[in-house]
Amino acid sequence: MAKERQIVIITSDGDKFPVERKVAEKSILIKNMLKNLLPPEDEQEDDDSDVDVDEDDEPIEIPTQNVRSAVMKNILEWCEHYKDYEFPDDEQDDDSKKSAPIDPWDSNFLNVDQEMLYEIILAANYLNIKPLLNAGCKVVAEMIRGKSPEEIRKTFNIVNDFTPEEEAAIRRENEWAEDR
Amino acid sequence: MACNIGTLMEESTPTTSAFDNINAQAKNRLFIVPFASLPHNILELIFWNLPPADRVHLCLTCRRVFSILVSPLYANIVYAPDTNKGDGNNTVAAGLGNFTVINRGDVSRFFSALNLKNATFNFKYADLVQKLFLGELSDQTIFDLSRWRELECPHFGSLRFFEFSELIPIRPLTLEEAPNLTKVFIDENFCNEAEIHQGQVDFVDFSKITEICFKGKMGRNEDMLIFGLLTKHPQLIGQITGLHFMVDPTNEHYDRVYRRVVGFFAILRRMGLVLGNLSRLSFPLTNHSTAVIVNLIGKHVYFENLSHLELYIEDDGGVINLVDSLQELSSIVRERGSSISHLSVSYRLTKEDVEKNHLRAMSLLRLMEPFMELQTINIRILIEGLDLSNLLMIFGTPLSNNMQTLRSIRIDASTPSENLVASVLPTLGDVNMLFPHLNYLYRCSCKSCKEIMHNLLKFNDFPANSGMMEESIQVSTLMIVGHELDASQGSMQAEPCDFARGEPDWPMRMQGSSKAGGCLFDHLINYQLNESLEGFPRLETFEICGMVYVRDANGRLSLPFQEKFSGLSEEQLTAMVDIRQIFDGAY
Repeated sequence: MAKERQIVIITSDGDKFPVERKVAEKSILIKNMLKNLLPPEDEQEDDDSDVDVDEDDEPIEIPTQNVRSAVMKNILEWCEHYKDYEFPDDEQDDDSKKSAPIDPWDSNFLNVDQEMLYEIILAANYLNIKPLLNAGCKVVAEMIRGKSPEEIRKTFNIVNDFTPEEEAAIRRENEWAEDR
Repeated sequence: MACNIGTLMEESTPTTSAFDNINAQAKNRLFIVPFASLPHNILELIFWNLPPADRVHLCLTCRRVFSILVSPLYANIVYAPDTNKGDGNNTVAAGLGNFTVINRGDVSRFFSALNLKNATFNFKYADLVQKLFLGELSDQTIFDLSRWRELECPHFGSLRFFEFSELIPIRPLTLEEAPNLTKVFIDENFCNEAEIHQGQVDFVDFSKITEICFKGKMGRNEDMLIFGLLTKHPQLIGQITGLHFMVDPTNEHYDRVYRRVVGFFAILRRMGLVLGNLSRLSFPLTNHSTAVIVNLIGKHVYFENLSHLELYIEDDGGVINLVDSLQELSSIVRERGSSISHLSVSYRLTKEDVEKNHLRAMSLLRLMEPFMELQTINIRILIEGLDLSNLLMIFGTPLSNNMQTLRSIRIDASTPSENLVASVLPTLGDVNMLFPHLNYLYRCSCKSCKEIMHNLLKFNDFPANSGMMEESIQVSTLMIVGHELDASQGSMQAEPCDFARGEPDWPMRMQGSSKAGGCLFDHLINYQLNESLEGFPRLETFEICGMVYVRDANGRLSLPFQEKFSGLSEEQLTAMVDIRQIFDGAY
């Protein structure tokens, strides 16, 4: 049986993370990259080393320019946790799973500060890891629930750039949706 | 530096909730990535995970967020007059999906916003609307939709489909107001509009239409309209992905709709056309259906592409034809319907005919068998006197065949107090063995149940240590539960059209589940239900006779807008005592 080639993910700040293929492939972006570089995993096992031995020993390095090391560490922890779990295809759709609650493990995993939470969400978006992206957005949504616009601004340090007149007008225009 | 993923797993897991921790840290921090700078798709995803009121609060935070999120806020609108509003603490309100619900209190102000010629930032809210479901808006004292249509209707630049009530005379939106429709509901009002246009349907741009819904009741010119539609727009056949022959059980027998189906496919046969891209199909079958016609449908629909199949079956007693039709359909599905992932079957027996119920059960069972990749299943069996074991087989077969894939289950039976609950009374011992986690009053430790038991035991004729006390409570509990299911079923919409309309009947169905003071049904079965459905890993919603369960934030199936059970009424308590007396031979 041929040895599985090592995959190394390189972060924007130059750190290298050697990972198993099925961990890396939780990212659809990386999965698609690997599709072009490697045979499918099941074929790889039967491969009788047609590939040059030296080349086979070289790890495959995948640069991820938008993700820094501390964030990648978290992302890979999530991928490691779910490496044996097959997410259904429909979870790749933006519209699906909105009504489903956040998984308790994900909730604990995303118990990080806001900066890290945003970075995980952005990295999941960039790396195309939809289930993690959905979970991150659910956590943010939970932080918004029941808050007034002003409270949301405070929570997320959003600068109110409406003029008082504009704010009053759009509030009036949309009050039908607010009285709930 | 190379990091070992193994060491990451050893880090301690925080014990406080993610939200508490994040909120606490949020107070004194500035962020590298400002919230308002998050990409569009991420902001939208956050938006859709919010309950309705919080969605608009998020919109109102700053210019960029408003400019991105005001579009989804107005994109999909459904009118549900009595919708119970999900508040910020309601964990399942987001389960309403990608729809913004307006109720009777909102409706005037909503239309005022739509009618604005220039909103604050120089755009028109009407141009943001993509789907507009106003089928329930027929009460002119709430809002005069016909008048609005004639005098105030704005231009809907992005509208893909709309539904107006059939109960009011109202002109459908035309090319002038809604030039980009992709789906049409053809009803009596649509037929009347065609009359005004000398039988032509050119007031809608059919070159863009991909889904057609023929409503149960159409105008007298329906045959000419369908003929004209197919012969003048033959390209439609290749482009439509959804075709629905809807029924209206409150007004007409399904035969009329079935004849419409026959006429439609006869024209297709004559023209030699096949619905090659159809993925959603709804149609009725009746005792006048024949296997030949079902076969004709099979020839003109590329079943390999179907993902949604909805059947409205009406049986007036002559079940033999139906048996043949269903068998033919079952064969077609077995051979070519493996892509069907959403199935809805509604079977309505219009007169009692217990003798042939076994035939009905057998053909329904055969019909259910070939579906193996279902994500959604709706089964509504309105057959009086159908044996409970047959009913359970009809419900159970597709459930057990699709445990790994099902996300939504909706089951319903006629008069649940009799056909579901009363039928189990003779075999109560078996039921309790099969469902050991039923939470009867005397087993429950909650305050309400303890109080009920205390009150029951106050009656002299309700001795606590009587050997039959438990059994009498079981029986009376099931009787109360049966009545609750009857009431819940009665609040459901009469029309079984699930796939023609799509999602927006959800808010109404959830509303139908609500009852002040909670319900004994949920108190009795909640734990058992969650235990029994553990084997369905993807299940998100479960509905039985109008009781809509949705997974809550803790992963448990619960009734979203239902109050917590807080006790029985005096009447129900008296009924329990009466049952006890029956057990004691007092009557």
